[in-house]
Amino acid sequence: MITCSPLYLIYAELFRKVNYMIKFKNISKIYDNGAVALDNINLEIEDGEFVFIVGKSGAGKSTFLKLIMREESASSGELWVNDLDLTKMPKRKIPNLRRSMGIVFQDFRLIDKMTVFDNIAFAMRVTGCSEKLVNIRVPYMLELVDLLDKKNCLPNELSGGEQQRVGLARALINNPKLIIADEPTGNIDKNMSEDIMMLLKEINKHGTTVLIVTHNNEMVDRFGERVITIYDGKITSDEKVTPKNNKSKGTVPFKNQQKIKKGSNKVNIINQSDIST
Amino acid sequence: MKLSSLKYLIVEGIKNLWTNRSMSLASVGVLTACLVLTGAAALMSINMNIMIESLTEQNEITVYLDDKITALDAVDIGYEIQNIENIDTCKFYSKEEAILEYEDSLGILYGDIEADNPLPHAFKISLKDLSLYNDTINKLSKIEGIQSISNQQELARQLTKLRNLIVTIGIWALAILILVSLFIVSNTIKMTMYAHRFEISIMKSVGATNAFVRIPFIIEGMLIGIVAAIFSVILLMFSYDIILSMLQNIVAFTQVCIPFEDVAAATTLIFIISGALFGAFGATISIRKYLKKEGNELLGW
Repeated sequence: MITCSPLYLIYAELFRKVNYMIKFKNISKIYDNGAVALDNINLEIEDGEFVFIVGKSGAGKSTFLKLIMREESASSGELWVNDLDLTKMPKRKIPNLRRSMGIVFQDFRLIDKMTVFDNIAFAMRVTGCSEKLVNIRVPYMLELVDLLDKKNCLPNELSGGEQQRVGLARALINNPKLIIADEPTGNIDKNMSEDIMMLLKEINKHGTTVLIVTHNNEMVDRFGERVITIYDGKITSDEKVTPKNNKSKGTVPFKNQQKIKKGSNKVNIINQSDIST
Repeated sequence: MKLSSLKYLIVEGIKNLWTNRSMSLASVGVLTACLVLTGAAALMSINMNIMIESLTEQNEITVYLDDKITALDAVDIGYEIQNIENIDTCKFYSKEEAILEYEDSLGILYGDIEADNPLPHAFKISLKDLSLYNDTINKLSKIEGIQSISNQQELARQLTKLRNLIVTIGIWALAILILVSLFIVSNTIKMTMYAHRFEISIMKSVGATNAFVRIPFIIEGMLIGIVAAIFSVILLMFSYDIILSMLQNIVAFTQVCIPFEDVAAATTLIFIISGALFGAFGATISIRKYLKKEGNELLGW
């Protein structure tokens, strides 16, 4: 039978369809002032991976993220994100790309005058979701990050860790396939950082690709995932790091970890038809 | 776009207007000035057009005789006038009739009419063919004993000149005011956008379309325009009498002027539509540049 033949196995391996969430092919980015931010980057991140991007300030990490979010265009090369060719993408299609990703910022970027509920709902409302859907999905997400009791609080009434959980809930609210976290633990204390990281891991377990940009080498060592190092616009290493002394490994410090698992199907309650321009 | 989204965007637009109320008020003020001036010039021009039309259609010429001409001499002049081909009717209008009519129109008594009457005898004539107006006037002016002829056509020509001047001044003033208003409105919206740059950056990062980001600001601009339009109509309603009295000073009759009630609906509609379009345009030009920015560039970081 053909299914058993070694030829078939070779053939199958050769043509194995790998779903790449992000694919950089000979990508370079040179700014108008001549500064080379990224120099011939080749990189593939598979669907469902958990990846750290590390590097010093000015190494090219920010440009790397800007290209993925299509805030900047590459000077040369091909860039694919979630099966979308970003190098040929017209501007009007950019919102579609961004709806497939959730972004977590170091400085949380919550709107001061809006309550926790409205901050999360904002991301749904501006993509045209109905209020009915907002009222179902936001409380669910608040419960997930254990902030349901603070839904009417303003951001400045929350701790740094809580604010970042709101930011994370906002990033997750539109059910993205990719989470990009730019120094997500940069402005919060160690214990809270652990919480945030564990939540990101949990989200990743359910199939969401997670890309974390960080300076925090200690955290990278502890969580032991794929670590890509950028230096001077080039990838200098791309390796799987073995976790070191991770006390929290295998635990989720959230009350609702069971809920994430049980309710994970609920995460997908948004249909594309509910999102309009 | 869904109804719920539209409702959300309209509410956001109203909130923007209120948050930035001092600048919005300045925009409303300038736009109101622009609309009132345009409206006043337009209404003045419409009324003058009607006057000019009525003057040119009037088939009555008054021929004033020399002061020294007696009623008896006037009869001869009357015959001469009637001999001109184009004359249809020719009616004697004595100085006594004239002074009585003058007294009636002023509501005062002149005194001893017989002794002090300064008005001359006159003839009121109508023409068979108005196209031969100038030719007939020429023939009339050649008759001895005629001092002056009330030439309505000449008055119409003068009025047309005045109307054209008003329209020209109106257009230039309007052009300048339009530029000033656009500048103020677009700056107001720019300030609102600056105040909301944080929200805009988040909106863009979660995949809001440019149209979605733009709409609340366009609604804000339209609201500025609509509020200005309402103020303008109210102001124009109260100042319409002043405009008419200005016309009365220029021309001695106002019976052909349009009452404001007749033009109120059309004026309101035109003002609201143009105010809304103007506001939307002002908003659009200020948003265009802003929407090209992304992420931290938008935040100015």
